[in-house]
Amino acid sequence: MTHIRYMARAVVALTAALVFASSAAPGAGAAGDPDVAAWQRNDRPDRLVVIRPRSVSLVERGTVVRRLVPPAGVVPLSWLATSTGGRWVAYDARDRSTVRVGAALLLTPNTILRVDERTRNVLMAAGTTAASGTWIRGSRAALDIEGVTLTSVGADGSRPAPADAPGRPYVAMGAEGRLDIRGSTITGFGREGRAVQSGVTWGRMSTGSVTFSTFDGNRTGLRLSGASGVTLREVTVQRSAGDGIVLGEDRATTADGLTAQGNGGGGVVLDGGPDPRVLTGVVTRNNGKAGVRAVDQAGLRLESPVSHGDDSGIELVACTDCTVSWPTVHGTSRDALRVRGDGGRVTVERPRLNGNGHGTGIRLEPGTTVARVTGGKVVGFARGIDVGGSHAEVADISLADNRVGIGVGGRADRVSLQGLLIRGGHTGVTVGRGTRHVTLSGFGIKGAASKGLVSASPGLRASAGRISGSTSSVVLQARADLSGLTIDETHRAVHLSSGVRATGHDLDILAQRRGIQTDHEARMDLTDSRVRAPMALTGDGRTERHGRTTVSLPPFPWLGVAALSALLLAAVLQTVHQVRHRRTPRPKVATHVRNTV
Amino acid sequence: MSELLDTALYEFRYYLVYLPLGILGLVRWSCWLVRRVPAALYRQVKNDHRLPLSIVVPVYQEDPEIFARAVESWLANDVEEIVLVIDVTDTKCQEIAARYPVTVVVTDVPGKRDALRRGWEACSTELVALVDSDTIWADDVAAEVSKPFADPRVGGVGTRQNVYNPKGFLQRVNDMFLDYRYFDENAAQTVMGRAVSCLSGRTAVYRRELLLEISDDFMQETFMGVPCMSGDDKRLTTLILERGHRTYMQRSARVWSTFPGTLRVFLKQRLRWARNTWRSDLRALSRPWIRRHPFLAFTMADKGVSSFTLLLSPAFMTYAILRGDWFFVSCLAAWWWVSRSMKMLPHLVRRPSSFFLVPGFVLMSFVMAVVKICALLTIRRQRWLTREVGVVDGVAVRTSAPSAGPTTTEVGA
Repeated sequence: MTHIRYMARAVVALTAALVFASSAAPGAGAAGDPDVAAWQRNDRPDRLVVIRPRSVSLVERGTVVRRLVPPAGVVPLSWLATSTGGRWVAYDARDRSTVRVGAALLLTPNTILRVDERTRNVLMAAGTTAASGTWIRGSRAALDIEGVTLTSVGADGSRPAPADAPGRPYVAMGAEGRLDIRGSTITGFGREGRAVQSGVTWGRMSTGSVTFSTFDGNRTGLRLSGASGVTLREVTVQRSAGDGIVLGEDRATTADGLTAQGNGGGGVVLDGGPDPRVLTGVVTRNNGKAGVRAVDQAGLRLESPVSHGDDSGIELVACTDCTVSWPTVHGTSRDALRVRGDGGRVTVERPRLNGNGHGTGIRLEPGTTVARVTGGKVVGFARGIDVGGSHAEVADISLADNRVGIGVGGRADRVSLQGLLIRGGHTGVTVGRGTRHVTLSGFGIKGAASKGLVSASPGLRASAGRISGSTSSVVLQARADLSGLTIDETHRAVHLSSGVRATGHDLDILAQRRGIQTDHEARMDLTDSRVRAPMALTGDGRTERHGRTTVSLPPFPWLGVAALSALLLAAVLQTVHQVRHRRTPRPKVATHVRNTV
Repeated sequence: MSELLDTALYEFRYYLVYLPLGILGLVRWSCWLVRRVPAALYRQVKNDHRLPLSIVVPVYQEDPEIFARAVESWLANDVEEIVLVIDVTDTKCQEIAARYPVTVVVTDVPGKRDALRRGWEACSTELVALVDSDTIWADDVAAEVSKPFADPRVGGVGTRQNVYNPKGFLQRVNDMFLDYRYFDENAAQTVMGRAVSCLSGRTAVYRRELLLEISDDFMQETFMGVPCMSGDDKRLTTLILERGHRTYMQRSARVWSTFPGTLRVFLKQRLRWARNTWRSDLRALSRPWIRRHPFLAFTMADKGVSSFTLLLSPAFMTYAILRGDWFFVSCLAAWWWVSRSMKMLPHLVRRPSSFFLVPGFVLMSFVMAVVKICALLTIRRQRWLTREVGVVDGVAVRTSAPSAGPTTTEVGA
């Protein structure tokens, strides 16, 4: 009997458990639904279309409201437009080439979504909240966009949606996914706010390509963030709120023909990445920050970049073994080409830099080592080239109309300036007090209005150069060795400040007033030199002559004397005429004639 | 004191460097001095020699008021005869002429040359003054111009001319050009060989017998196959010189004439004169007679060359401006002002206020140089430019005549 009673209790308990289990089953089943789980993982959008290889689920606020069977293989957006319904993805009632997307699209692994000319205009809703906005994301999936214009639409119907709309759409491809964009335009993508999103992002280990496409008015135009093997060709990114193109931690990227213009941040930003990379045909215009900014690059080769009207031109930060060849920078108000941060072996070849009187043409900041600048032309900056790093070599470059041609300052050490041609401006070359081992050779400084060469660097060596047309050609505030210099068309050729010692060998000086001026306790040792000036050797210091040194007056200014004589002779001849005709009377003529003197 | 002197000397040498006179400038100044030295030594002829003198005036489209004043000024000179050769279409001037004791010859042949010839043929005195109808004489012009004729070798005499009551920039500049001419070029040519290159047609006095002798040559002048219409004064002077006679500028004989006040007319007049000068000077320099007058040849060549060299100066200025070399620009501009003022001293002494017009005068000189080059390039073209007559297909025509029946009479007919 007892057994029977136990058996009855067990049956009741089992039955109760079964009843409970059967009533609780629907809830437990939803929580375990992969589509709902996907919805939970992807920021819980109001509407989410989950695209799987054999099903497409429509999830609304965490509930799967429909399941569709997609075509095998590639899922076209046009299929979604015909299959999902009005609030999800649908054709515009008036224009069959336009599709309105009102849901986030999630591409699960092994799916392919294709957006092509069947849906030429894609309007993606930017909701009033982040959850009501739209996006296309995927991982280990493929998104193929060709010949399409994707535009964000604000809640009020504005196109593109305002930049601060929290639900602006974006496209992001995640791990091992593939995103290809060909001949398309993407406008008004990317989000501000807490979860910042670029307009289009290739995430870690994703790949793909962008060719002949335009990104207009996005947050960041396009971003590579750890992507691999992406090809960028003939891409224009414009009017982004932030940076135009960001290539970050990417590898094996091929870039050719990038144009970034009118972006609020930098035009093209290169940030990290393990591999050497080559960028050709980068053109940046009127960007709010640097045209091209390369950070922490190794082996970067930037070929023929063009920056026009950017806030600053090209900036290399902590780059090693990087080369910028044939860069062209126009109209920047800051630095045209700047190298800073810890790095080394940066080479700038044949730069063509034009400024508007402000900023610096090439700035090698303290901390940089082994920088080399060769060839090219730098025109119209406050400072043509500013060298603050060590082991810098500047060679065969032409500088014109910069207020200061070249400045070597800071703690610069072992700086070599060779074959420079400096024209115009206020000062040709200045070398600061804290610098060491600075050499200047084979140079020409012409028409620097104030000073040709000013040095406070102990041990400066200047050789085989010509300085002409400056008020003061060489001003030495520290020990220096001058050799093989020709100095002419100058008011004062060489000036040694108090206590400075210098040597001059094979100098040829022709000054309009002072040849060599030595201040108190300064001393100049001249060897095998020629000084021609009205006051050849002046000042309270000493100038010692050695070897075949000659000192003389400059050639007489015969033409000036001739001009003055001619003027005087004209006056004399007029006087002769006046004297000879002093008694000539005024003519008698009718009173209406007045010009009778 | 000695140190101060040394410093001052050095400063002086220092600033001499900035006088922007190049080698070419030095050559140009030398040429000017070659003219200016004899010009400073010029004296007009003083004697009591007086010959009977007639005035011949071609009249066409003249301002009636100016014309009347001019006639009165000639009459005040007590000349023997005044012959006005008036174009048949100019009835206004005929009416004015009728008010005065003058001889009027009405002609229906267009062109100044024919009118001049008719005039001197109608005269009977030994001297004939060829005068423009807008030229007003001082009271003693007839007496003054007779004086150089005491020398039997003198065939023609010119006068000193000025602008009649100059107003505005262009007339003032014209007055400067005239003073420059009579105190420089003409004075020098008179002193150095008594061979003035051009006795200006506003008033030029010739021996009548010479005019009759050269009449045919004068009327039949052609240049490169085209009959010449303007440039009569240059032609007459050249013909006189060619025949071995002297020409003289008597600066004490003063006349005043009207000049254009608008740039358009001014440039047209200058273009016509420049063409005449090129034709006459190029022809003269190619003829043997010029060897008798080396100074005249020098001034002709100098004038031709200066048309080109003068333009180097603004070229340097333009280059300096493009380079932004404002110091040199300032030096050169100051040099232009000062040096040209020194060359214009005879005028500036007379009218000091013109000093402030010198920069404008310099700029006009550059414009004139361009005009001269244009004239050289169009040297065969024959038009009066400021009057409605011209040479078309070898005949002088009234360019304003109605197309139905223009009077076309062959030059020299």
